Amino acid sequence: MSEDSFPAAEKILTDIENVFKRDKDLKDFEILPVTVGENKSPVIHAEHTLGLQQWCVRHLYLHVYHKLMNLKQQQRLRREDPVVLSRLLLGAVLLNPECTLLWNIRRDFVVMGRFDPICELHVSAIALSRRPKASEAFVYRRWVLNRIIASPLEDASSYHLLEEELRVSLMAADRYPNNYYAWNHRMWIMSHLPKASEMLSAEWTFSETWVSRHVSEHSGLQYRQYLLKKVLQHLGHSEWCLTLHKTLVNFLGPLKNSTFYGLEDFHLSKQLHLLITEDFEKKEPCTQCPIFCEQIPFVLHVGLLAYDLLLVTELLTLYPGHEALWCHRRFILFSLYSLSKEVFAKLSEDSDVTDGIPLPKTQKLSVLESDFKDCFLWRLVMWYEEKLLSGCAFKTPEECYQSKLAHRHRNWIDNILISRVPGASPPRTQNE
Amino acid sequence: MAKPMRDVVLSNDLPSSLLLEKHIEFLASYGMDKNDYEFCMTEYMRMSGMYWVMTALDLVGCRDRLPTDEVISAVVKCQEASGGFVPSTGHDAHILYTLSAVQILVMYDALDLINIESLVSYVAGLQQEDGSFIGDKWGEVDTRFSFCAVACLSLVNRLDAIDVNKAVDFVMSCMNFDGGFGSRPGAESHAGLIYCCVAFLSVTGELHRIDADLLGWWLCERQLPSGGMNGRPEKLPDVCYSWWVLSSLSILGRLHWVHKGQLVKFILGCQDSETGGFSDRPGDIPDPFHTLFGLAGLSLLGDSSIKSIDPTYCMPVHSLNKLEVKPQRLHL
Repeated sequence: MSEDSFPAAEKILTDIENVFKRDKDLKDFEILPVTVGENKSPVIHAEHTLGLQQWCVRHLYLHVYHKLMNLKQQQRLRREDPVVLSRLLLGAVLLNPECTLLWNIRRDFVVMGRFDPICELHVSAIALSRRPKASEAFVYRRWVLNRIIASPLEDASSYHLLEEELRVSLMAADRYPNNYYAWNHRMWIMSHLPKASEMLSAEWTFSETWVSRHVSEHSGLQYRQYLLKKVLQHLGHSEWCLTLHKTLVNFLGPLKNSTFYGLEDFHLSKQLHLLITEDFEKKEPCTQCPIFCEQIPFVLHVGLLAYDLLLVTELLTLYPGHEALWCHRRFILFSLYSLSKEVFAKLSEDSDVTDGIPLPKTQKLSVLESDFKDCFLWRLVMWYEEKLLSGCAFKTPEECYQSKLAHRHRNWIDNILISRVPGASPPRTQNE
Repeated sequence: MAKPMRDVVLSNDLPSSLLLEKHIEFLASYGMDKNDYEFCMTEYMRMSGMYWVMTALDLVGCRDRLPTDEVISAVVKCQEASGGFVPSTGHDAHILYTLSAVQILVMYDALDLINIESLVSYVAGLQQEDGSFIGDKWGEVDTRFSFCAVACLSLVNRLDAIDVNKAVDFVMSCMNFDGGFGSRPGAESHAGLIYCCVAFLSVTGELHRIDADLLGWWLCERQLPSGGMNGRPEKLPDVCYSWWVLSSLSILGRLHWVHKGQLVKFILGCQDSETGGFSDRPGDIPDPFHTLFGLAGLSLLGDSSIKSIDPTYCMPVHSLNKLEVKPQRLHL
């Protein structure tokens, strides 16, 4: 098809561009299922949505694509009338946001100073509203954002940029389940944009609400895992200590149970145990921090992991049969397992010296040689696993799938997390 | 079977034997009309499209159905002065299409027609300080690009042109607790990216850095009751993920961990018995991408009517024999 065989094209492109000019709050782009053209514009604008009737899509795309390719190959892009070119490029990226070349041409114009980076963010957001998986549009946003943040920004602009980026990634995540690109983009935002670290606590709360409503979201839960690691890097006394105080009282509650004998052998266990029975349960914590986050090593770390262990326990009970939740639990278990090792290693180290007097060699060895799995923390975690797994009995179809997932979970703990027989194949539970 | 699992049900009327002749026709006549809307929508990845079609035809012994000289000259014409390859005239160079071009030229034994030195310097120039690779001059980083870089360079026997140790360190920084890999540090494990990272470590001889039992476990859990594989938890099965999961398991020496018979049944069920070709799932529209990965998967599963495929490079084994490449494999 030659570039002139769709004479309506320029008019349609102008109409599309006018919608962008008129509506700075334009949010969505949709193809409307109208397959026969009438004698009026196929461009509709309502409720901050740009609609394009389906009948013109193929013709319009072929028109803009051939025109742009001709200009590119004849190296006439820079000399073309900027108004005409900008219309062509707008139509092109809306209709084919996966085409790298189209974004590359826009990049060249941004570098030349002919396209405004903030408008570029708007255009790519509209393209994503119809194609939330268009990875090239996300790649383009990161490129534009990197240019914007390369120069110092006023606080207000930083917050605005951050809010808009979080909005766009959430919109894409809402429109396509387990959207790899949307959640990767959100991780990038939280790692790169100015002021993002101030949002960490708000994101942690947002993520809890979101995953609780999307219990099949492996990608959303992966984002939560990313946040958790990030939060752990910035641990310190905060308003979270109050929440974690409640969490720890709940989580450590079963330790009062007689099943957990011999806790007094462990320094940290004793400390925590005392805290639960005494200080932790006081209605009005009298010190500055209800969980003594500066005095007790690891207490914040334990608290955060405990928070998600309890959260995922609740979600697994409310919504049986969601693999993503079980995967998240594996992550929490893995983290608690690593932490137990770390706590144990620290305790062994501390035991080297008691009141400045080194322990006799034999006693030191016995501490080092005992298994960290006897550590109160890991024993408590395993107590939670037993409780959950024994409750996953087979009743309704959902629960039948749940019990299959529970069975897999137990196998994973036994054969992968805790002890390994190298090269042992996974039990073939899938198709029983 | 329990209800909420995302999966498909294979009906009884799906193809259960390999429709080779139909696939050959499908591949040989695929998308040649330059004015076609689909052609223009997908031209940005034309080079990879040629690699999918050509490799698939080679696997079934019908490479001569494509006009050899025309294909070679079209590919050679796509090398830019920078040394990188564009997917199609007028588009921009990218490492994705540079690898596809090199793969095609290796299969045609025509590497001597391109400028190897500039190819090597193009690829080496994409490596970053932290060992990662960007895909083109605009700077996006992805573990896919790390694989493309080492695959390209090893095929022309020039791995020495990059800092392999740093490249390996970057890929390892993308490993997750579940043993899998994502596109960047902290990104979700994804079977396609796991293939890229495992194949990367196979090319560079660093497979010992993987926890093969842990990763193998995760990969096996991708098999669904229909027999098909998904690429991540809670996703539908898809023929292309059969390949990425299988090739990774094969490199790790754990191919026997999956239910082969059920997977073969799923892949065969994704054939289009009218037009030929494979689609992602039964009943969908076939395309060359899924056709290559369907055939490649069946080859790894031992179908004797398809030539053997190398799981690291996704190229017929015979085409690699004359090269120096020795991709590493683990054995149980």
